[in-house]
Amino acid sequence: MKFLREKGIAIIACADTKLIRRSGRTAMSLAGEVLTQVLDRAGFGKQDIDGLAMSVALSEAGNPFWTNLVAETLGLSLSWTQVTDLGGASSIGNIARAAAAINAGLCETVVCLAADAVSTQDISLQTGYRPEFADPFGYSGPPVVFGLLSSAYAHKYGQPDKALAKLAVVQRQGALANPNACDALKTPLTEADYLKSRMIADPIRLLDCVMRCDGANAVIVTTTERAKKMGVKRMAHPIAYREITNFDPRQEIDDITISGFTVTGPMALNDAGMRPSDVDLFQPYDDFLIAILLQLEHIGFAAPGGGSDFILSHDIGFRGDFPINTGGGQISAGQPGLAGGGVNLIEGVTQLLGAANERQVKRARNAVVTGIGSMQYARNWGTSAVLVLEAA
Amino acid sequence: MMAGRAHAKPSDVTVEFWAAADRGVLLLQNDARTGRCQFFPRPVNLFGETKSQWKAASGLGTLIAVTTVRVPAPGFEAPYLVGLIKLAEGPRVFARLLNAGPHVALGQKVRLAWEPGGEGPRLYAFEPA
Repeated sequence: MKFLREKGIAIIACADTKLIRRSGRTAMSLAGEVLTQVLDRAGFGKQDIDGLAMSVALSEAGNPFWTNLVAETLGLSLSWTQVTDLGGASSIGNIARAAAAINAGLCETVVCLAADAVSTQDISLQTGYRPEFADPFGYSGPPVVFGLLSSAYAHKYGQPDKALAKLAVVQRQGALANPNACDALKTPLTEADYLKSRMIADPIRLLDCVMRCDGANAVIVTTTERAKKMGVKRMAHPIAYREITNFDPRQEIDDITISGFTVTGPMALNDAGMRPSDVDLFQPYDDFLIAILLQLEHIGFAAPGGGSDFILSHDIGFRGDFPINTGGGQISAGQPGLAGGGVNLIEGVTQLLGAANERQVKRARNAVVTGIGSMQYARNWGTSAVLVLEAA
Repeated sequence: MMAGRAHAKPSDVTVEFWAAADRGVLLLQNDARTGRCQFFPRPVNLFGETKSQWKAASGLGTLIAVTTVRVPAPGFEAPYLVGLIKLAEGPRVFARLLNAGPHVALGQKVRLAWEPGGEGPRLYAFEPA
């Protein structure tokens, strides 16, 4: 996407709600709160928005008219809408879709909004192979996929307990400095706490997994030209984006730990004209800690099998030399259902806008944000998406 | 089989598959041109644009991933083992691993086994060969 590389698109504001376990609220209520907040930060009114890109919400999954309902309820009149079903990759996927729609002239200013009250209500329904070839065989959720993946990784390279424990502890420190992190997770954590946490699907422990909560997040995407006309001083340009859904469709790769990030990671960095060592901030999608380690290897920060050494040899906190998921990630801030990808995105944008307060990273010129979407049969995950942001 | 478990509901694509399972046969979909097989059953052939043919699996394979499930699916009693099996014919299968302990090693040769009968079609599983 050449127009991204040329910095023609800008993210001018972002917002997120506090993450709450079983809030008793609806995705619509959370969406209204975050829309008000993001418009306020941009200095926009509802009439300034002509595009809306949303993620599917598990708490609203039965509703086939989601963007229409949101537009009507929240008072937006739109020339372009989009609902994206890439699971945790939806939030960064929507940045690219919004940018493409703006570039095509369908709209000028888009709110990319994700809201889900999944810990209050989950009315999603899995169809296809899941109820027929997974559930009857004892599939009890994503920890099973990640337990299987982790067993294959450990067989090849050894179980990376030390690196995972460090990730757990450091991300928790980020969450403690993030006022919007879920209160249920805001207790300090030690490596011993991680190692002692109970097994869910060996070697996946409880503290390897995200906790579901309710929440919403939003960004405003427009042309750099309009942002400048409005006098916006700090913005984040999406300069590269790559996405792959259904990597290796014919199982040509025997190693089930190899994901689509081996394609999209190097391509996105190449599009951005960057090497891995040029990256200031890494905000990887983290439904499970092992996913961070795999992404470090697949995108090219570390060699295959070298993710563990990479984590152990860098200071990965918000004051460190290679900050990872500085707001706690989803693992320690909470996963607001399918709005979860927005947790990593909002943290990346917040850092580039210089608005991260006590957890502000000093050198935040660029950020790599990723998204993972959906679990696959006898493999890893369905979508591997990479977004590169640059501060301006 | 314990009550409350999800059971497979055959679709038009899988009705033959489940009928064969009830006879103790695990069917794969085979592409005649390349000789490659796919699993789970699909309405299309992954290896070409001609229709795939059903082919009985040998039932032999290798364990390539395993986990002890401690938070069970409905109707299951934890802990239990599930694994990914790479079949001799090529494709991977997600199934329960029976008659094995939690320290079963990856690379273990396994063979087709069957769950005790219950509600719904008979379910395949694997055990150490």
